[in-house]
Amino acid sequence: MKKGISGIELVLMGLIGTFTIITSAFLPPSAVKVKLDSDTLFEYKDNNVQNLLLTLLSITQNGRDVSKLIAEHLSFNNPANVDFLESRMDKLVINKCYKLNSTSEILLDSSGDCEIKYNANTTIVLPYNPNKLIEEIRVGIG
Amino acid sequence: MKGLSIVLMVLLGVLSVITAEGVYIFATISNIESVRRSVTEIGITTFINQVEFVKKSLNQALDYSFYQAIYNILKYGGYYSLSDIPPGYSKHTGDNLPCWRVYASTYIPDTTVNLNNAGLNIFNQYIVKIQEKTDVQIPTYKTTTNVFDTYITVSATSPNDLLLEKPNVTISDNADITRTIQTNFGKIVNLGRNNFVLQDSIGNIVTDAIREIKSENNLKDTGSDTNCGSCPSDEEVFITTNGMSTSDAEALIENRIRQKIINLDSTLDISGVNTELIIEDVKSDIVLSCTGCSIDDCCTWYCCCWDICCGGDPEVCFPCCCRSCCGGNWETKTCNFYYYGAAKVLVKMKDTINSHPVYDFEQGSTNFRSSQLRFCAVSGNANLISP
Repeated sequence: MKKGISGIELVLMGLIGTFTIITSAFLPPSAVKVKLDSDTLFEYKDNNVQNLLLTLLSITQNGRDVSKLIAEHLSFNNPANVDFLESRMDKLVINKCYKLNSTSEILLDSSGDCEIKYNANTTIVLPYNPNKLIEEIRVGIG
Repeated sequence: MKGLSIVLMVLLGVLSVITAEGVYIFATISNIESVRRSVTEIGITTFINQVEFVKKSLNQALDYSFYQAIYNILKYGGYYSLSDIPPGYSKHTGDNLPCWRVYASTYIPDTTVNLNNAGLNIFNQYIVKIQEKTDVQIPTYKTTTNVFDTYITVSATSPNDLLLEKPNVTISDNADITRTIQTNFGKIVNLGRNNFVLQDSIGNIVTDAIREIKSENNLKDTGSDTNCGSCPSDEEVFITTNGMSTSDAEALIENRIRQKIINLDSTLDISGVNTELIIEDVKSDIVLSCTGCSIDDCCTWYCCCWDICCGGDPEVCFPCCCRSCCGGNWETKTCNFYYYGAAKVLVKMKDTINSHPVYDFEQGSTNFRSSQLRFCAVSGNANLISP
């Protein structure tokens, strides 16, 4: 039976104790920082999607507001499709992972093999119809 | 001595860790503060975007409101709906469209006021729906509409701002909107008003047609006819005087009125406006006002003995004169002829340049449609046709 603690054991205990102290001292603030950075990034990206939607609705196509073209497509299918938006979205969304839909219809969807992470939505004003004056549209990017 | 150095080393280690952690936590807290500010700024940008979305929606809503108002106001002769026609105003039989002229009376709606009121009413419907979906407080608007030949300008103004109130953040922005809408509304309304209200184009056509037909056919305003043994009829007096029956003369006048309305139709086609005058009824009536018959001696004298005409004077011809009797009294009637006409026209004036996405209440659908003014006009020099 050996008496007392050997030098190696003492060194090991010191190392473990030091590691525990350092870890317990630095991990919580690091975790908080990582969480904050993640949330900030999410807010930033989410805000960017909102900017993207606002930009998309503010541009024109052949002299007509895209927001009106979308509204008229949703209201009475004229224009019959909004494929022209694809080239605009490809320029606005670098990774080309996006989805644009209304409550009634998917307008554009390039998210076949990517995950939509950030979304923004707004209401779009439709041409007058006493039964339906507005519709919600949503854009999502990966 | 040995034990003390180990304790010192441990103390030094703990002190180092505490110092390093202090520096790290300070840096982290500083970082958190800058992150907090960034998040706040991102939040503010998000709120600004929300206000921008609302402003964009209001702009579009104002456009769609006035597209619809223009379409309905023109379609229903200056009123947003037929039920808006004031009581006592003349309406077209069948479809109840307003008649802007009924002979000397005119019923011109204030199209600019009606357009402004209708547009604001629809705009308010949109605002209710937009407000349901946003936290941005939308103020109450009033609108001002200025109508020009080929466009209108609409200003929606409010003494209050668009307002978004969130904890620690209040965003406000000027709520006023001004839009320009391409439409020939002004040109169309002026064309209709000038030709059928300020001028009585249909009444003038009727008057001109009667004058022309009378001149070309030498139709007289008075005439007389003499019959033996019976009083000539009024119609006989007209035929004897003018060489044609009243019904033939009326047909000539009616045809001329129709032709002149067709000619007017073609002159009303101006740039951006196609006019269609649908002739619904044309009537002419020649009224004969006769004084009855004056009865002459039943016989007339004529000379039979000499070749010299004695003018039927028995004193001159006597004794060689004869009498010719008609077998009754010679009866002479004198008449005045009055020529009347009237026409009823459904006027349609279409904007051939602009079309807008609008709802048609009769078809129950929204689509791109051109606006078309419709109203009726009845005129002439006698009340022969009802609206």
